[in-house]
Amino acid sequence: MKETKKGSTTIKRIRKAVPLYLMILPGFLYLLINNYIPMSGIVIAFKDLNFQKGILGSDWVGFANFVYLFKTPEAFRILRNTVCYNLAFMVINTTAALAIAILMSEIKSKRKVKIYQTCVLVPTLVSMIIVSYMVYAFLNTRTGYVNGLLRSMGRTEIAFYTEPVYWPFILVFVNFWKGAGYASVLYLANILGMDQEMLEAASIDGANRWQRIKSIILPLLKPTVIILTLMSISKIFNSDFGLFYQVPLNSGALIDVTNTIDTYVYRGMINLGDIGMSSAAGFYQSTVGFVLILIVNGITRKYSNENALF
Amino acid sequence: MKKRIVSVILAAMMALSLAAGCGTKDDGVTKDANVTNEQGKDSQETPEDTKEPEGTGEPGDAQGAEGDTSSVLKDGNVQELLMLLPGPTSSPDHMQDVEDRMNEIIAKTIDAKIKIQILEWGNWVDQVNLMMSGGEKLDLLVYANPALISNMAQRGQLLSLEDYAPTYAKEALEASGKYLDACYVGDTYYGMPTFRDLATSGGITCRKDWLEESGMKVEDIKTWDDIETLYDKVKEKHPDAYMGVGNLHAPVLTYAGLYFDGPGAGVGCRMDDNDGHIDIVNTYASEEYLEMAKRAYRWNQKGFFIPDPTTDNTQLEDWIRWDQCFSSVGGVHPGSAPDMTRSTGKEMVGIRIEPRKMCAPSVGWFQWIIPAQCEAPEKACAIMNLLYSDPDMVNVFQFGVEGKDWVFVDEEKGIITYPEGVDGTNVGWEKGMALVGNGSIGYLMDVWPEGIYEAYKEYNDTSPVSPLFQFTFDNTNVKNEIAAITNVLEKYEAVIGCGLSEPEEAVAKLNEELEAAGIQKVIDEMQSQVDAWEATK
Repeated sequence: MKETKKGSTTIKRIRKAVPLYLMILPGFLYLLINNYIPMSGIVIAFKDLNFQKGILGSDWVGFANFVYLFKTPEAFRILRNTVCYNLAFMVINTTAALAIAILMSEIKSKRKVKIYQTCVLVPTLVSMIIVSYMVYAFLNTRTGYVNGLLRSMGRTEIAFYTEPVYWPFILVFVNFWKGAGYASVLYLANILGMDQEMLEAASIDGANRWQRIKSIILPLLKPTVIILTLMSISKIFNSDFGLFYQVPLNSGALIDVTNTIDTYVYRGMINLGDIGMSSAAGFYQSTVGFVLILIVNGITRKYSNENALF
Repeated sequence: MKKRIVSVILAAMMALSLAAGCGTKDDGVTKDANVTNEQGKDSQETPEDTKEPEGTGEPGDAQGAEGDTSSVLKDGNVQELLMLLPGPTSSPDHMQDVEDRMNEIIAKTIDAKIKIQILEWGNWVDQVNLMMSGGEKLDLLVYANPALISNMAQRGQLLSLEDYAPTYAKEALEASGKYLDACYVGDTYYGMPTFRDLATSGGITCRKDWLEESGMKVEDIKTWDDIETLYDKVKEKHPDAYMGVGNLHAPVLTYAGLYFDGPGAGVGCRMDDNDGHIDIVNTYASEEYLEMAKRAYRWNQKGFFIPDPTTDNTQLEDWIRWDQCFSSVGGVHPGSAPDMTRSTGKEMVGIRIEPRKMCAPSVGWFQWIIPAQCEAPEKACAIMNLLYSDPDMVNVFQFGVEGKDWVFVDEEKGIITYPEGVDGTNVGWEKGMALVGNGSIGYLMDVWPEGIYEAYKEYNDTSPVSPLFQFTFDNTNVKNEIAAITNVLEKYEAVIGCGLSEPEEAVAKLNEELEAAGIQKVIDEMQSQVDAWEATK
């Protein structure tokens, strides 16, 4: 008697959760098909791929496909560029997104918030190819907006696409322009979800805006910041191909400051078309990302356990 | 607290979807990039594709199907074969008509039907790659870029034509002649080159009116120094105009390369290396290259080139149409000036500066190939043969349907034109001569001068042939070096070719980095392969 009752509650509970499981299903299938099944392709990185023999039948070549990533005078530069740009993006975009989110949370008019939100979100939706032409419209020597301005002020023009010094700033700015808005939406949602009583109580107690931000909003946002940062650390060896290849318009003179692992692989493979070698690059990037995320998560767990990812 | 946990979970989920979103987006961008890149490549090729052609119109006796082949070709089993072509749109208006007409011709000698599928230029290369890798139905196609074709061949994705062509495509073999040698991968060939400009050349295609103004004559201009004199004179009259433009990302001056055949990463031999032993050298360390670099720099200082030449994406035809530029710098073949005249609206003249060179990549750029998954290779091969030997087939393939896509101007001479109200932009079917097997046996579109097919033949046949013509470089052992070298070249080649940096310094740095990237290893590897290849000749 007792048993059946217990059993029926379990069934009831499961039945109650059916809609939830159904909701998970599309995402689960997406992850399975898009992210997990292709993982088996990792073997290609260790093979000398021959279509006649098939993927599994091809000869094993050990780590031979990886050599070109390290045995090149450019190895240090592409690594430096990839990691340093990503670190810069992380710091600048996170700070900017937090600032935008906090500013927006202070706006009381719902309509205005919507307008601003749309404005900061639109750049995220613009394809990098389009972005590259927008940047070009600003920077090109002949008709560019910036050079037009310089001319009208009587200054000499700057040939941006042959001057590497400006590009670290340009790329960081473009990435900020494109990415900060999206990240700020996450933070804004968080802030709006906060217990408003707490903030009200603080202001009644005489806390000014800055104090409220510093002592209430930021600490409450900390978990989200940590999660997002952890996620981006896992991608620290990857770079946005569009940003580093399209935006500088593949200009040779800029390669010293724009070559990252992805563009290096792309340029090298254009003529070789070696699938094994390009898979090796992908494998290398993901492995480093995976190891890094384990380490950083370990550190997080040690210092603030409840904020760790796992 | 609960709220906080929920919000953290929500944030995590959003972060995940963000990450996932980024992942897909990255892919998208990378793919776009490929596409753009290919488009870049294509657009360099398009002058050829947009050519119209036509020919002597002699009624060739279509098909070499003799008794022994007809048992295979006429086996009573009408198979449907998929023919894949590139084009500006995937469904031209008269595709069905053309397909029907072609099937009528095919039915005479072969029990097969073709189904035409057209991929747009922009994603053509990528999509063909996918279809081949995925083993989709595909029986016959024309493809570009010999490097990609030889990669496919080495991966076992193509059928060797040596097994079929001598029996089923005799006329095609004949039409290809010595140029077939360029399609060898190892000791067999997988493709058949098409009829078009097969040699690489250098020179300028310039405005006739400005040239006449300068007082110089085409015949007087024989060297790059003469061109410099011409540019000086024109620049005096038109100080605001630029003198030379090239294709996007292509260096404006590249003629140094015409002295060399470089099968891999700038490593190759001199075109005039006829002393019995082929010496493999680094072409970027040559005097010719340095001289070219100096000239480019000088020209840039003189204001001959547009600003930002390596990134400016304005079509070179537009510069000329807007009266802002005198000439385009690059290959000059019989069709280039008529093509430019059409696309710029100014009368253009081609001035070729020797040398020319005939190397495998330029010959093999467009090839008809049969993929490994072909269901009836014999029939596919025989259909391909029709494109080299049957004028009716060639005309349908190239110009579409009479009355709808073209009309006769002079039936006797086989000269045709667009019908009223039709032009290159709205014609229901048209394929460039570069895609047809042998366009020279078909009609001639009236936008081209009479005798252009002969001019093409002469242009091709008189060009010096590279000592390495039939040699295929196997880069398996030096892939790492080539990846590094390609990166170095991307950095310097365009900058030097457009004269953007001090030549001596830039060329020295280029060679320094090439050394560091391992160019010597590539030279040694190629030298040993060439020696072995020569020994077997």
